[in-house]
Amino acid sequence: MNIPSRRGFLGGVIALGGAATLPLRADAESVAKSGTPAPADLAGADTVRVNTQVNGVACAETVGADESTLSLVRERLGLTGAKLGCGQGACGACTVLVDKAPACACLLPAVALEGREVTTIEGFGEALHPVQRAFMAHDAMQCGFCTPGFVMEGAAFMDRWRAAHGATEPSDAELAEALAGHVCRCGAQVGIRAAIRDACAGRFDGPEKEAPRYDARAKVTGAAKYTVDVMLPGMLVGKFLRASTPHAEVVSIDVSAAEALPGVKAVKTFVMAGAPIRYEGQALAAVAAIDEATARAALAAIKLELHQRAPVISAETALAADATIIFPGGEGAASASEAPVMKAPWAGNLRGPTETNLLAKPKRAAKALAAARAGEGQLIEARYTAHNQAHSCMEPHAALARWDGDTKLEVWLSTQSVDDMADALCERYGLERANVRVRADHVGGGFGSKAGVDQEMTTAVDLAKLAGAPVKITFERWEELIVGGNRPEASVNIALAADADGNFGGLDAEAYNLNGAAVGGSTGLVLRLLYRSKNKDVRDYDVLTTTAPGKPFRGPGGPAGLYALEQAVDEIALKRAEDPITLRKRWDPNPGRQRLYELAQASPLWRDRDAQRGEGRVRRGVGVAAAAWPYFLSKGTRVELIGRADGVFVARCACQDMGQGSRSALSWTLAEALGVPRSQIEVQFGDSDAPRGPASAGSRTTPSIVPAAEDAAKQLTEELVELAEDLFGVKGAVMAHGGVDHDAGRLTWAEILARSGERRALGRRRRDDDGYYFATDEFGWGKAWPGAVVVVALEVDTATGRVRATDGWMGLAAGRIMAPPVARSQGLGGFIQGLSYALYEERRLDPKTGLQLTTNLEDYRIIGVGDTPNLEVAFDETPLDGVRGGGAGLAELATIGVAGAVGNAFAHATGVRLRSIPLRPDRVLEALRQ
Amino acid sequence: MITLPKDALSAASLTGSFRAGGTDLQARRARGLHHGDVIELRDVPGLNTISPGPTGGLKVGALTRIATFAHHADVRKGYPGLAAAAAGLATPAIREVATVGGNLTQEVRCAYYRNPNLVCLKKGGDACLARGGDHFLHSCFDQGACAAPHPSTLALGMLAWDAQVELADGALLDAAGLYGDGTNPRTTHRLTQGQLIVGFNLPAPAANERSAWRRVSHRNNAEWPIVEAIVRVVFDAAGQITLARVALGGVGNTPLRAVAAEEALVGGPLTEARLMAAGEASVKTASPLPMTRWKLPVVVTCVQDTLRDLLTLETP
Ligand SMILES: Cc1cc2nc3c(=O)[nH]c(=O)nc-3n(C[C@H](O)[C@H](O)[C@H](O)COP(=O)(O)OP(=O)(O)OC[C@H]3O[C@@H](n4cnc5c(N)ncnc54)[C@H](O)[C@@H]3O)c2cc1C
Ligand code: SF4
Ligand code: FES
Ligand code: FES
Repeated sequence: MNIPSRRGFLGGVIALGGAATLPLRADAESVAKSGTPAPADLAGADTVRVNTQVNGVACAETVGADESTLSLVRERLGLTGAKLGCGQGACGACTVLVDKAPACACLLPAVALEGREVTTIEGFGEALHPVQRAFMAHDAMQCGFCTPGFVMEGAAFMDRWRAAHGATEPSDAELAEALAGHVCRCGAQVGIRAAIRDACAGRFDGPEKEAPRYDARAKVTGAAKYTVDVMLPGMLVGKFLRASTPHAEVVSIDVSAAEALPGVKAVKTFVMAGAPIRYEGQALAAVAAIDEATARAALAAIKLELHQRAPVISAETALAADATIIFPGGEGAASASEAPVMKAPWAGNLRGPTETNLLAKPKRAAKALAAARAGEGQLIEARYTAHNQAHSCMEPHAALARWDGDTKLEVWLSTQSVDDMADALCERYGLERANVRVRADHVGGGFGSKAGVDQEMTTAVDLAKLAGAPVKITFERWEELIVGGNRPEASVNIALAADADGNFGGLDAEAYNLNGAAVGGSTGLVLRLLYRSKNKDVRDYDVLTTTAPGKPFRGPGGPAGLYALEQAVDEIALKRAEDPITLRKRWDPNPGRQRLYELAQASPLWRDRDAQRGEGRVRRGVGVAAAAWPYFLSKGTRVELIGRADGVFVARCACQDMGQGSRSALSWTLAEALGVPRSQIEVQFGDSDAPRGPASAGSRTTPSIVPAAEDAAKQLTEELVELAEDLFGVKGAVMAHGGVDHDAGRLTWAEILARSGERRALGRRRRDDDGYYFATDEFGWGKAWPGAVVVVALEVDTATGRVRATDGWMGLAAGRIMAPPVARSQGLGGFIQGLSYALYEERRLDPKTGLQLTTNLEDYRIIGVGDTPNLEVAFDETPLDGVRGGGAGLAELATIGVAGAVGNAFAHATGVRLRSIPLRPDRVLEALRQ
Repeated sequence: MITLPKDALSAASLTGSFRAGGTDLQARRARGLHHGDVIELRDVPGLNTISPGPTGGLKVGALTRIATFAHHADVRKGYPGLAAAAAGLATPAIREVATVGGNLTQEVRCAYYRNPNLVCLKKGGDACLARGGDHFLHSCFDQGACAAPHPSTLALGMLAWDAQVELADGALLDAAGLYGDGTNPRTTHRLTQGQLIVGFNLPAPAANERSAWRRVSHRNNAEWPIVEAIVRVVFDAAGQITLARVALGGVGNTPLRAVAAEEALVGGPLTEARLMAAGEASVKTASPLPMTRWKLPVVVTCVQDTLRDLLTLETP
């Protein structure tokens, strides 16, 4: 094992993503204290001197009673590979080895390290562990935030396994048990399991191979820096005072005692007397202090007097005649949508209907339904309910702001859009764009929750200004789960008819979106995207409640909308005694999905589904669902390509990679366009100083950046061809793979660049041939319709009510796939997130107080490795007509259909249609009893 | 403040809360649920060993880490059901830090209790908030006060083997002595200030016994139980059951024995019919809360499945 020298992390400096080197804050402190070891024996003391070994290096630190091992390695030693994911023992992100065994570092007191040996991921050194190599090769990651924890656990498991069993494969159950307690929000479980299995079997004992993912190595070694990992000298801790009640009016707020506390550098309030509190977790004030404990003490010192109001947490209470109106006059509600919010009337806590009948023929829908009600064809009328889902990214929301005088601002932010955030900061603080820099080297997941201008950013900036020092705000897991973002709960009333010939007759749907203290629910809208019949009448309503505002979440409205629609379609197929895929083939004109239906129908999973059902205690079922999502892009995207004199090509764009693999999409497509190996491509993201980049939201990153990069490659290589003739005096130069061919032979790009010196080109995202439905530089809606088909197999234990997914297949028709192994990971991630949503996740609220009960990752259940079935993702790569670059994004498409397929599989297994998710055991037993 | 006593007796003489692994205590302290001084047990010697007891059986030091306990050859051989339970509780990284003593004396996981903004019965308030609120994962054997299921998995072992905890002053407590009858909502165990557990004493297993553990939870791993059971059955030479223990977790405010199920087992061989009847009997005294009636068939199934596991075990 290669051990970094103590100097590397304790010598007083660490390097920060290319920024200036800086002294480690805690180091100075520990040196100062080292002269006075505190004896905490029977007499007691506030601190204890601890002697331990970290990555083979002796380490003596004076720690507080409550300081954790995680805080010791991260904050004091600057070893930021281990992450704080939950602080409660339930996510595994903090795992380090203590005396060679994986231990939960967030709960293990640093005091307990006396005489023990700690190994962090940094301690694995440059000669990677086989598990690290396997993670790279299997692309067992997306955002990478959970990766160091999984790698530590996996490596320790592999070492034990090899000692006991030699180079053999552990079973899935053994792997599940070994990895229990590790949460991956991105849904990399399939790759993780395969990686550790193969490492155990000895398949990665050989040398390291190039990973498909551009930044895989940084992620498996813990070198990747996330916003939470950035530490600046003199940095203060910022914290919010959050409402601990969902509905109230502020009578008074007094922060003077907090301001007077030593160590408190700034206090800011967000509410005044008379201000409404509309949800638990609403920010009331914020403080910046020299450390976490002081910040907490400051929050505790804020005096708050409230006039309590009745919580409004269900549709029934919100719509009751005597309900308290949460937004009188409809003023001031946030938007849960990423699209502009359409106008709609308000009635108390109800807003709507929102007009979603553009180009539809509601009257024809009504006529078809009337005919069906009169007995013609088939009719299904039902209500489907899908619960609220928390984004709960493994990296919590975090912002670190530093002012340089009054005019220059630098912000490290866990964001889905460095560029938009820089714009927003310029506007808000009246700054020049050149003086504002937003950075996000790595982002630990976003899923829509980090796409907007959020309070942690503006508050960190405000507090930093007030305090005259950098301020970092990091959400705790409970904040993340309460206010970090959620997918609104939705109920959809559907009436769907097939006509006498079994064709699509008409659809009437009314969707009630419980967005919390926000408007803009779009569950109904999604029903317009599939089965392109005009015979539809679809209305969206927002029901306002006193819960945290919903946010856009990977395919906003999609999972709930398709959960409803795809089950209703299934129910029609059942009534017609028809194969549900055959029926969809007739109803659905989308050419991409037509090809996927063929594949799905031919798969053994589907073919043998009836034979597998079983009659006994355990029933098996297979369900299908289709999914459609628009194709979005940002046509203003620019990618700068720099051909360096050393032959390396550097692509720069103010884009960001939160795990979706956009860096990889560029490295793959540029390597192909330039005819050079991927190791010759460098991708610089996560810096708003780079040319205009898209927000990573609405699946629009890939179709924006790839064509712009290819355009840059085209310009640059054309220039290099000319330079070859000019500088080398050759004739007949033509572009060839990796360089130029000329009459007398061949020149590589590297040879040309070595002579020409650095050359740059700025690529534009050129227009699609067919234009757009709508487009600004930031957000455009293109004229192609990517599609997906999902098949899920599950088993239901009718005695315990447990439902387990056993197999799954997803076909994605989104055109050209840029970096297939990485795109596959994104597809699997969407699939796994969808399973988690349909089966396990659920926000629970106390019915009386309206307070959220699921405030840690033990209560809020995200799918684990042991619950993740065998999954397959297939791409139909037929290019999307008219789309520049040939491919659309697939982030959203890959998740929105899953819940519908789960619902249909459950019905197939049990013969009982459960019209609400998640498929909790109590709910399943109740349904089976009836 | 933190103290670092060097032996058990001085630890017992200090004021504050003992800290063993810290996986429960620190989680509570981090959320502002627990304040006050910490008595760190790190330096107390001799409490992390597993040794033969004076009359057979095992003396397990209170500071033995759960992972060590679960994989110890004597534990696995003599008490397979308990070893399996220990190896299956929480997560590997927790088991590596948490101790046997801390496991037995950890606090409930009720979301109301763990919410720093709420004060329920257990925290000195005047009402159990879960009863009037969301309690679908709470007790279905209502002992009258706090409705939170007892968290300790290892406590089931105390019931199944009549194990006792030994305190620093030499006192011995069985499960009833340690946990009471669930009518006092304020405490999750009955230890008072200064009562330090030094050991967990397991009597010798019977000559011909089998034991097993099973848990039903929503996800497969690392999740608190809807219900879990340790069953232990002792056979005579003719294969008749002479003693049976069915210990249930996740269903009552204390770890519970399903006595009616035990009675249904004793006096005959372990057959499918007998174990089915025992399962049915296990909920005879259940008293579900409005939202926990659904758990009863799950308890029945869990007991039956765990007993059925005994059928496929090798006779020891
Ligand atoms: C995700 C997750 C899942 C979990 N699942 C399970 C599960 O399925 N089953 C289960 O049983 N547990 C489970 N746990 C809880 C875990 O097992 C306990 O936190 C752990 O066993 C406590 O042991 P500890 O040594 O860390 O105790 P500590 O945190 O050190 O102490 C816990 C309490 O016991 C007291 N105490 C500790 N030692 C002694 C002693 N020797 N004498 C007297 N008092 C003492 C302390 O003062 C404190 O009040 C889970 C935890 C997590 C985070
Ligand atoms: S169940 Fe117990 S811990 Fe939970 S609210 Fe009731 S008294 Fe408190
Ligand atoms: S941060 Fe330690 S387990 Fe989540
Ligand atoms: S890769 Fe696991 S949380 Fe993102």
